[in-house]
Amino acid sequence: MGLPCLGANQKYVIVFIFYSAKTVKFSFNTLALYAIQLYEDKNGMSDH
Amino acid sequence: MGISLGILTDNKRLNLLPFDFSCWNGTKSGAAIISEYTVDESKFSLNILAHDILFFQVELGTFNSIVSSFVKGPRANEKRDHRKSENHFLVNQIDYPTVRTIIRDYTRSLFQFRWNKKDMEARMCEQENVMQCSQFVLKLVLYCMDMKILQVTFENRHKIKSLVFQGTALHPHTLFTTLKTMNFCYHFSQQCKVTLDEKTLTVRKMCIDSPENVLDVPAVRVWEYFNLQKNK
Repeated sequence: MGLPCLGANQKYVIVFIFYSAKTVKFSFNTLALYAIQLYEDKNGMSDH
Repeated sequence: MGISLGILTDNKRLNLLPFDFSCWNGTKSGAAIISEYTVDESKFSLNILAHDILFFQVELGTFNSIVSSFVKGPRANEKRDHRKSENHFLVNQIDYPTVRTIIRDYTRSLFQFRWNKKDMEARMCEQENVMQCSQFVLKLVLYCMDMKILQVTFENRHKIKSLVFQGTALHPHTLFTTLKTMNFCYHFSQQCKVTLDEKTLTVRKMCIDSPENVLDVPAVRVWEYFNLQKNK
């Protein structure tokens, strides 16, 4: 893994991005993921 | 909500790494691509629009260690040591909680009237391997506080630590309102300019359109991105 050679005098920031709840069109993939999650929840399969 | 990394330039412009390292529902945590929001009615996809940005400044060494933590997955046979949870903060490949876990945590948080350090450590151990997006961010803030990267007053420290008890039910807006009042956090308004993949955008023109597509981003790619930005 290469070492970074960024300048020490720059302002490095950690960024928290807050997303909006509006939008949205669901893809079939996303719907499928939600369906799987609901199925697993219902059957107690994925709880940690 | 999500986490990314950036460089703040002199003219108050944010050069943002086009990856969000948050936990998204239905996937393990990892890097999802942040891109420019373009409305395409023919494309049926999940578009999540950026709305607000908070940021805090770190030293180069901290920045590099955070980059390494985002891109490094847990080794297959390595069990995480909960006793050392204060000395590392997060890695990718963390599971997203189930709906039942979120409801359970919400109910539990309603009855948590007082707490001590031992309670908090126990609760953090529970949250080591399953996290949602706000917890992911909270854990990073706690790590920076514990490592003295962030200078936080006793009162604010208590305010932040008490959020641990909301567990997976911690809402991003709760975290936003808490962090916004902290002296180490700065609000990047919606009109401010962000440079993303050489394009200049406002905050509200950024989105994640495929949060379910999590990528494995090597650290060297992150550093190369910022080196290229620096040389322009």
